[in-house]
Amino acid sequence: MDVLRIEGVSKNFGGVTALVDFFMVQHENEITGIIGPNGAGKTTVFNLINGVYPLDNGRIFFINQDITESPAHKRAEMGISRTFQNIRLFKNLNVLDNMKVACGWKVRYSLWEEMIRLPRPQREEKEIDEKARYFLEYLNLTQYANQRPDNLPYGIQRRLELARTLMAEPKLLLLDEPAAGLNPKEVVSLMEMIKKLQQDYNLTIIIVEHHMELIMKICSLIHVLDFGKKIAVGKPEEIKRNESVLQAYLGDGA
Amino acid sequence: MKINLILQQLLNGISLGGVYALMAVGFGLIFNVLKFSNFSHGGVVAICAYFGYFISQHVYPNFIVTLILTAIVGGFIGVIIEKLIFRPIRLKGAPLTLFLVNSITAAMLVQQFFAVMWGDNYYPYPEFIKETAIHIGEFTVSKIYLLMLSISAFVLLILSYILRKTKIGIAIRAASSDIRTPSLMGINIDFVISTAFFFAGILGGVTGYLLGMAFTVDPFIGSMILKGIIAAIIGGMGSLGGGVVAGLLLGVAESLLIAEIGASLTPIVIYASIILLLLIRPEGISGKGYIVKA
Repeated sequence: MDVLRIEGVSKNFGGVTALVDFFMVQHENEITGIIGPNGAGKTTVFNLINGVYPLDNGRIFFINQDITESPAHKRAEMGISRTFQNIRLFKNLNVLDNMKVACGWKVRYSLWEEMIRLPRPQREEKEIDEKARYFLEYLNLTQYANQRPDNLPYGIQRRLELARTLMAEPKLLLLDEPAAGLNPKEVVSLMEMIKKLQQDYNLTIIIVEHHMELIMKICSLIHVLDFGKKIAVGKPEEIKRNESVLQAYLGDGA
Repeated sequence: MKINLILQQLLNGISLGGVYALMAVGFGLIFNVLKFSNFSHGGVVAICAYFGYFISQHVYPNFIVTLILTAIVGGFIGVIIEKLIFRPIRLKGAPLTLFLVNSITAAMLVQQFFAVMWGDNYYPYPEFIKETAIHIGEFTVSKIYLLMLSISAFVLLILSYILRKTKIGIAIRAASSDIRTPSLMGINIDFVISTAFFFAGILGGVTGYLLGMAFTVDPFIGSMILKGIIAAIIGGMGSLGGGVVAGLLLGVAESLLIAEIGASLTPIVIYASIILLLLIRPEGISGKGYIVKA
């Protein structure tokens, strides 16, 4: 099954072209990579998938549903979760509350019920609390539950962002440079973590990354962008040998 | 001053300070999320002061019922104001200055409206309490003030619980630190902002009712919000707890000063000390070095 289908999507910022006529099909339960030099439009792809800003042309389908016009919060509700290149944790909330923010708002109870403390919202609150603690435990973050994210090491903050994406029970996970700022040891454990996540929760994952080793080791398919255009797509071994990819990364002299 | 008098003024001050704290929090809640000074909160206070007078005097003279009703009406007025004058400019990405201008205009509109319609008279709330004071030995306590204090404390405790524990409360706090990211987690940010205005409106409703009951209702009752705004600023913008503490301190300082140096000099001393305090500690009491980003 195709989890995500991007058809001929373009995006301009003022006069700058960020993405041109981009096509992509993402199969279920696969890990796909998007690579490319800086400014190639990788993060733009993510921002268009989860609706940070509207696109200029083309359509995006999520599990056969056209989400091109859907607002960002609806797409998240449908099952698209993401992490961010520059970590975006809520500084004024502790780790546990950072998890709870992302609990998913599919089940709605009215404000009135909440204010006069009816049993339903209380039960739900308890469930959210348990779920948050469960995913913290799952990624070995329990000991940090009551701390502010600012006080935690960078690697822990990245892991917390990853744990937070699980709260909404996503189908599609977008990881924006998850290895940025991590040391080699942390990168290895990140790779294991991503694979484990994928298997445990049947996730479909798209990764934008500069860390070639990580991309080559865990992705089954790789898309290569350069100046907003897709210049190659293929399996890791194919991409390694692709002429235009080498050129984009190393320049014409290569 | 005799020790009795000091204690009594202290209690009066805390009661008055409780209402300042209500205002500071109602004001701060919106400031935290949208980062602008919401003067229209004074409009909500004024409308609710009149509304509370009207229903308690002419419809159903029961204290608790009319207070709750006024609070709910305040909540909805907050939501209406948000949808009418703030949401359209927010969706257009207007600068913060425009939010400020809109909020001041709304407050003045309300004030002028009441000045024209009912400005020729003072409107007293019904006397809910026959015996207005409790005597404990030489010590006299005004029941109205005790009532004000307990209601303010009750409302603030409930709000604090909601903000700390519930889904919507956590979302409001998350939006206070970063308004763009929550929607990527499935949170409808428009709903969160409306809810923040609803809560602020409820506080405004209670404030209006208590002020109307303790004093009388006149068109300029909304401008008392200034004390709340000052409390929010002294407390440290971005910190609701700081606003509560500052509100109480302001109330106490005011009451003690009035007893000591008189009502006419008190505002001069208060405002001068506030300027001095902010010169020394611009980030306010709770001081997190809070910086407003545009």
